[in-house]
Amino acid sequence: MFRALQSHRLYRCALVWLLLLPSSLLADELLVVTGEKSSLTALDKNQVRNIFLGKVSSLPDGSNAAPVDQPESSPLRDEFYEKLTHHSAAEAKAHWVKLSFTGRGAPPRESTSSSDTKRMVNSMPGAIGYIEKSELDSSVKVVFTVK
Amino acid sequence: MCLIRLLQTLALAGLLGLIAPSVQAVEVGGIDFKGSGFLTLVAGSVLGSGAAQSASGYNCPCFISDYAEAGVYEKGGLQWQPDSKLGLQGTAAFNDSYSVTSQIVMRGASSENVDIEWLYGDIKFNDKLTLQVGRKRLPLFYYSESQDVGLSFPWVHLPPQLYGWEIVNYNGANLLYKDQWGDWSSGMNIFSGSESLKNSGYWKMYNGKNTRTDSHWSSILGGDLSLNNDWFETRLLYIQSDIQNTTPPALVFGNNTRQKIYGISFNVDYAQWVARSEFLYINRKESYGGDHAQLYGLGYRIGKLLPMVTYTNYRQSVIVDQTLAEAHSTTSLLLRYDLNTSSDIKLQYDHWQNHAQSPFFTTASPNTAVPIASANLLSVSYDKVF
Repeated sequence: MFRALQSHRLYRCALVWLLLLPSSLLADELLVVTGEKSSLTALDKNQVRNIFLGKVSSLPDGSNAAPVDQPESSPLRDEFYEKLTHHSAAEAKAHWVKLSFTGRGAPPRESTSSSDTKRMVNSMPGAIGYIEKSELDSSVKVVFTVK
Repeated sequence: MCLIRLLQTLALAGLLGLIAPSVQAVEVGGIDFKGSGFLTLVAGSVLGSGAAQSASGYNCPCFISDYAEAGVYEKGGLQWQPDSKLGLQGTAAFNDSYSVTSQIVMRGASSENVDIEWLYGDIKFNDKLTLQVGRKRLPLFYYSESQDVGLSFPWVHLPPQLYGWEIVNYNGANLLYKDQWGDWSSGMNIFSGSESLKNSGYWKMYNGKNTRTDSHWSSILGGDLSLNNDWFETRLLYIQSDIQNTTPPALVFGNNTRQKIYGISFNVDYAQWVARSEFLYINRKESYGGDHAQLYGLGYRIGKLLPMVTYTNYRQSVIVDQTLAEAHSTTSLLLRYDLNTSSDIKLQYDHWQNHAQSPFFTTASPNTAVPIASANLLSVSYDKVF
């Protein structure tokens, strides 16, 4: 009886801790990827952030950067901007709205899914996107891991 | 004729974006047309139970939300005109280097049906350097260029003590440059031009609701520099120009007088904290004296909700008699909620306080006029981009 009670308490305790854990810790790792034939090998956090916020327009090799966002409804997009930019996805969009209606830049293209992101980074020169780790395959190359 | 046809096509591209969000880009004869737009709907009411009194033809206490367009919330019920607007933008890209963009805005506060706020050609030399020629917004402050797009800034309306000026556009040319210096990204803009404004909205609030004053800023020359490092951003601004008004107001710009505008802003977006600050000084010693304005805003993000408090202050220097100087401030409490990444709703309470020795917002004789001491405004807005 006592042992059963103890086990029940442990189970409840584990459940409470699980609920208290930040959702980001439970989520899949996010990977910044480019096409398999891209000459790009690695980016640092600042470079990825600056490309996705329109602060720079080119990649380190001098070619034109073409960032690809996940769709607006995707939780990956929220997680990506929260971890990378100190902005929510909505604030990042507000930032892009400020640029795109004032002649200072065009927002990232939007994919419809992680599969579509993989297709887009392979079809456009300079394209980089982000996908969850479980979607990684040989068609794309990882240039940064979002932690 | 060609220009009119181009404008019609560009506006149509914007309209396409409005009625069919999925059809925002179309290629015709090798030219890529892209359409987009923005909508802001605001309902606001001046609070308080006292009787209304007329000042400059407005029912006061009243709250000026947009000086440039004479957007004024008057005493007496709910109003939507001062801040509501619909904008359409169309871009025709001839190739990766050349494009033309037009942005038209229909607003509740304007007597005109449509204002052309942007119409410029874009020559992109490379990924860092772009030349633009045409009509643009004057980049006076951090949010000046996107002042019509409610989704781009936290508030229902931009703080009027800082953003309230008679000229907010210019016709001319500018050179944009962006680069990365170590951990810092930078954006630089150098511009030159002029603007002649018929029937200025700004001067109606000083000279009377039914008066007409034309404003002219010529020989505009300026530049701004933005530096950004992860969670911190700063922006420096300098503009000089000559000013002339065709119908001189009380504080006169009779002939061409020189002004020099200095601005600096500091923004922080760190973890859940959002901080905004801007500081302005205008040297108008060749006319009445000068202008000083400051903005301080602090917010804390809770998921999609942003509560924020903002204080803005304006003070004028008048060389001949400081008792004539204008001085006032606004304290604002804001709640912004992001419905999704393309739309939001905001609720804002503003308290405007007059600090001047002399009556503000009245054309009556200074000896007999009653000062408008304060005003409170409650407004709610819906912003969307498409």
